[in-house]
Amino acid sequence: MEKAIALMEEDLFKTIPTDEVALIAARTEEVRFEAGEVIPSTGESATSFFFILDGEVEQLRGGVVVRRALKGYAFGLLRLLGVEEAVFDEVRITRDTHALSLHQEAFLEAVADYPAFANAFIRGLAGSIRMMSEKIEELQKKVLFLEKERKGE
Amino acid sequence: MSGGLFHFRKTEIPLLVSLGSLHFLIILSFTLARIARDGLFLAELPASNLPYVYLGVAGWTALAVYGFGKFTAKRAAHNTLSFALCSTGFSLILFALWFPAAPRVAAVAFYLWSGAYGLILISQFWILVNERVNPREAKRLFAMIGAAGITGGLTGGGAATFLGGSVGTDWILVIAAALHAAAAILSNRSGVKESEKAPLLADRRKAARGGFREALSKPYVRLLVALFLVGGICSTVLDYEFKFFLQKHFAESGRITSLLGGFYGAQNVIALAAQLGLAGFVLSRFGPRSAALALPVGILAGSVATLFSPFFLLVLSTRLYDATLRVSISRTAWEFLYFPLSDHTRRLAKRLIDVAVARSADAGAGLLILLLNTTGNGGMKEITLAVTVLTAGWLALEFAVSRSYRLQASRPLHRSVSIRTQAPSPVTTWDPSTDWVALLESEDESRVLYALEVLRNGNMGAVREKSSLLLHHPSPTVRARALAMLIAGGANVEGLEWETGFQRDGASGEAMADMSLEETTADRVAVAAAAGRELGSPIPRNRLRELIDDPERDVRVTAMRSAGLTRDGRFVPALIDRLEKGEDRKDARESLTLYGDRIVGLLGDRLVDDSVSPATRVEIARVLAAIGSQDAAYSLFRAGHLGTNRIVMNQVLRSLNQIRLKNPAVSLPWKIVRERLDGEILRYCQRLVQQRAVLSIENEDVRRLLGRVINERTAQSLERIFRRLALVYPTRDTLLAHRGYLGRNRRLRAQSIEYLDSILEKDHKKTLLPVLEESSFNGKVRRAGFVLHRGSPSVYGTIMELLESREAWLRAIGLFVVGSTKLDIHLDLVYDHMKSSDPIIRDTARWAMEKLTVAGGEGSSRNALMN
Repeated sequence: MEKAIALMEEDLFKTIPTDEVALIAARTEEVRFEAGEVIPSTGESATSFFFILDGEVEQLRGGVVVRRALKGYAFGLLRLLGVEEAVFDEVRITRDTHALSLHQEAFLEAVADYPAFANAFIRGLAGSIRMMSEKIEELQKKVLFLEKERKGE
Repeated sequence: MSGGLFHFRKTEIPLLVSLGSLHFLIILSFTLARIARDGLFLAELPASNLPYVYLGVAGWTALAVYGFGKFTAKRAAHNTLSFALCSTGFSLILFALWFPAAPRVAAVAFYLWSGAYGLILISQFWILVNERVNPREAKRLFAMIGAAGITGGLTGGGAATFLGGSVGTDWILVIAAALHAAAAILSNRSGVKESEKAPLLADRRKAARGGFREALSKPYVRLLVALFLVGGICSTVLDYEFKFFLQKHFAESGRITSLLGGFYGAQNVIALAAQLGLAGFVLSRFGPRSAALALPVGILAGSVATLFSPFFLLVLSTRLYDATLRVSISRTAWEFLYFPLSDHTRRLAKRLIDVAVARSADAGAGLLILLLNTTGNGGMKEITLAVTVLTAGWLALEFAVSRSYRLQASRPLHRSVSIRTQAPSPVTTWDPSTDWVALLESEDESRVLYALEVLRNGNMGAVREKSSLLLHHPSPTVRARALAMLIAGGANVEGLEWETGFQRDGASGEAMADMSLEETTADRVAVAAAAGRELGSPIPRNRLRELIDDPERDVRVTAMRSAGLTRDGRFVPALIDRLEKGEDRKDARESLTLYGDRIVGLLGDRLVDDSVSPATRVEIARVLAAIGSQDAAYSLFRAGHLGTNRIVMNQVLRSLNQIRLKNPAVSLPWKIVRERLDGEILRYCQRLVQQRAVLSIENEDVRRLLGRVINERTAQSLERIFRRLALVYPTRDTLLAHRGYLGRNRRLRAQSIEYLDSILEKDHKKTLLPVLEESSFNGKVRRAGFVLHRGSPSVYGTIMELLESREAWLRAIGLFVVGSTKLDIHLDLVYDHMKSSDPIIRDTARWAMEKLTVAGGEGSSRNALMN
C-alpha cells in the first residue's frame, strides 16, 4: 500500500485509477542505491525501469552528463524498450536513491492489462518528445543567432 | 431564485435581461404599429374591404418569408434580427411620410407590409432565443422572456391610447421606428456566444444548404407543420364561434364592444399572470410536452361541454382559455419543439411555421367556415362540432409530436458527440505511396516481415497473390508468418503449397501428429493449420492442444485459429488460459468467438468465478460481447451483480452495451436492471456526500488521498449509471448523453440532460436528474443528500463506510487511513480484515494494526483526522 501511495503522488500516475496504481505497485520491487554506484546499460538492470521516490541519478554518454533525474522521474524506460542503450552509456547515482523497479515482463503485462497505464506512459513519452523538440528549437535559434553574428563580423 | 414562481439562476440574469428587454421592445413597437395600421386603414377605407386585404396579406407574407429567408440565409441570427429591425423601422418613417400624400394607397400598402414583417420579427427573435438559450435554461427563462413580450403588448396598447389622443397616428409610427432602432442596437449586442454553441462533429460542419423544401423533407418538421396548421385552424374557428355566439346573443353594437373590450383586457391580464406565475413552474415540473397538451385538452373539454350545453359562458371561457394559453404557456412550450433541429433547419422551419403556416391556418379556417355556410351547416352546433373534431385531431397530433420529440431529443447529441463502435486503426497502416508489394520479393527476412505486417492491414490480396513465393521463401520465419497470415485470412489450406518437412517427406497425418516439436516453425504452423481443416486423412488434432502453448507466436496464432474452426470443446480451456497472456489475447478472443453460443455458458461460469484472474475475466467479457447473442448477454448479465472487482464489472457493462449497440433487440430483465440502477444511483449520491465530508479533513495527505479515491469512484459510478441506463433505453443515445454530459460545453451538457428528461421514468427523473442538473459541487451534494435522506456523513462515518465497502480497494484505503491517522476504532474491525484473502487488504490491515498497537493511546483519537 505504501508503494501505491508513493506512486499515486507522481504526475505519471495521476491519471490512472488508484486501484490500478495499487495493482501496478504490487508488481514493483523496492530498490536502494548508494551514492557513487553505477548502473551499466547492459545486463540484468537493463531489463527494468526505475521510478525514483527519493534521490538523484545522472545519465551519461561518453562521460558527459546528458540528463539528470530527481524524485518523481523515471529512468530506464527507453532501455527497457531497447532504445536507450544507444543513447546512454551508464547511469550514475549521485545521491542515495530510493526507487521502485518494474521488470520488463511486469511492465509489458501492466501495459496489456491496464490501458490507463499505457496511456499515461504514451503521454509521458509525448511530453518528453515535446520537451526535446523545444530544446532543439532553442538550440537551432542559438545556432542561427551565432551564424548571423559570425557573418556580421 | 430557484424556488417559488421564479426559477432562474443568478448567473442567468444577464441573459434574461438582454432577451427579455429585446422581446419587450419588439412587441411594444409592433403593437404600436399594428394599432396605427388599424386606425389608418379604418379612417380611409370601409371595413368591408378587410377580407380582400386578408387574402393579400396571406399571399404577400408567403412571398416575404421566402425572400427574407433567401436574403438572410448566411447571416447570424442576431445580425438578421438587427437588419430586419433597422429596415422595417426605416420603412415606418417612410410610411409616416407617405400617408399625408396618398392616404388610401398607403393604408393598404402598410396593412400588407405590417402583416408580414410583424410575424417575421417575432419569429426571428425566437430563432435567436433558441440559439442562445439551451433546453434546460429554457425551462427557467422562456416564461420570463415570454412575459416581457406580453408586458410589451400591454404597454403598447396603453401607450397607443395615450399617443393617439395627443400626437396623432403618424407620430406613433415614428415612435415605433425609434423603438425599432433601440431594439436593433440591443439585438446587435445579443450575438450567440461561443460558450452557448454546441460543438459540431467534423462531418457535420458542411455548409448549411437547402431551403424550405429540404426542411419539409424531414418527417419531424412535417409533423410540426401539421400540428400548427390544425391548431391554428382550430383557434380561428373557435374565434369565429365566439363571435358568432356574441352576435347572436347581443344585438346591440355597444354591448358587443364593451364585452370585447372586457374580453381582451382580461385576456392580457390572465396571459401575463399565467406567464409569470405558472409557465416557469409548469415547464420545470411537468415538462414542455405536458404543458403543450393543456391547451387542446382544455378546448376539447370546453367544446364537448358546449355541444351538450350551448351556453355563452362556456363558449366565452373556452375562447378565453385558448387566447390566454396560446400567447403564454403554450407559446413557451412550443418553442421547445425546435431545439432538436439543427440551426439551419430550425431557422427555416420556424419562419415557415410562425409566418406562412399561421397565415395558411387563417385561410384554411376561412375556407372551412365558408364551406359550412354554403352547405347549410353553418349553425352553432355544427361549428362547435367542427371545433371538437379539429381539437381531437390536434390532440392526436400533439401526442404524435411528443413521441417524435422523444426520438428527436438525441439529435443534437448526434451532431456533436460520437462514440467509437469499431476497433481503432492498427498502428501499421497501409501507405499506398510505398511499394510494399515489391518488398515481398526481397530476400531480406526483416523487410519481408515488415511488409507483411503493413499489408495485413491494407492489401491482403497482394499477399495472396505472392503466396507461392512467400511460402517458398528461404527464411522459415517468413514462410511461417505468410502461412499463418494466409490461413488467418481464410485461405484454403489444401490449396496452399508450402515448403515443409512433411511435404518433402510425404508424411501422413499420423506422422504429422507424432512428429516432435523439433521441426521448424513453418512445419508446426502447417500442422496447426491442418488441424483446423478436414483433409480427408486423420487430422493431427491431438497435437493442437500443445501447439496452442507453442513458444513461437506464429504457431500459437495458427493453432488458436484452428481450434476455433474445429469448435472442439476440448480446446476451450486452453484458449481461455491464453487470454491471460497479453500478446495472445486478441487471437484467443477471436478463436473463442468462433465457437459462438456453444460456449457462452462456460464463459459465463468463468466470468463469475473469483478464482479466475481479473485480466482473464475482462477478456471473457470481451469475447461474450463479440459473440453478441441474447445468451451471451444473459451470461454477462449474470455477472452484473458482482461488484467485488471494479475493472471486471466495468468491462461487463461495456460488453453489454456493445451487444445492444450491435443488436438493439437484445433485451434484459428490466426489473433487475432497475434494482441495480437504483443501487448505483444511491452509491453515486453516497460518494458525492462522502466527497463533501473528506473536504473537512485537515490532514492534507489523507485529504488528498481520500479525495482522489472517492472522486474517481464518483466518476466511475456515474459512468455505470449511464451504462446501466443504456441497457434499457436506446443504447447509443444514452452513451452519447454521457459523453455530452461530461464535456465542457454548456449547451451540449444541457442537451444531454434534456435527452434524459425526455426518456427517463418518473422515479429516475426525480432522483437522478436534479443531481445531474446541478452545476456546482455543493448543489450536487445537497441534492444527493435529499436522495439519501441525510446530510453529509462525518469523516469518521465516511471511513466506516469505506471499511464496510464491498470493494476491496476501498476497504484497503479505509484501513490505510485508520493506520496512518491512528484513528480510534474498535480493533476488531482491523483484525477481521487481517484474515482477508485479498493480499492488499490483508497487508494493509496488518500494517494498520501495527500502527495502532505500537502507537498505543498516544495521539489515538477519533478526532485524529481533524488535527
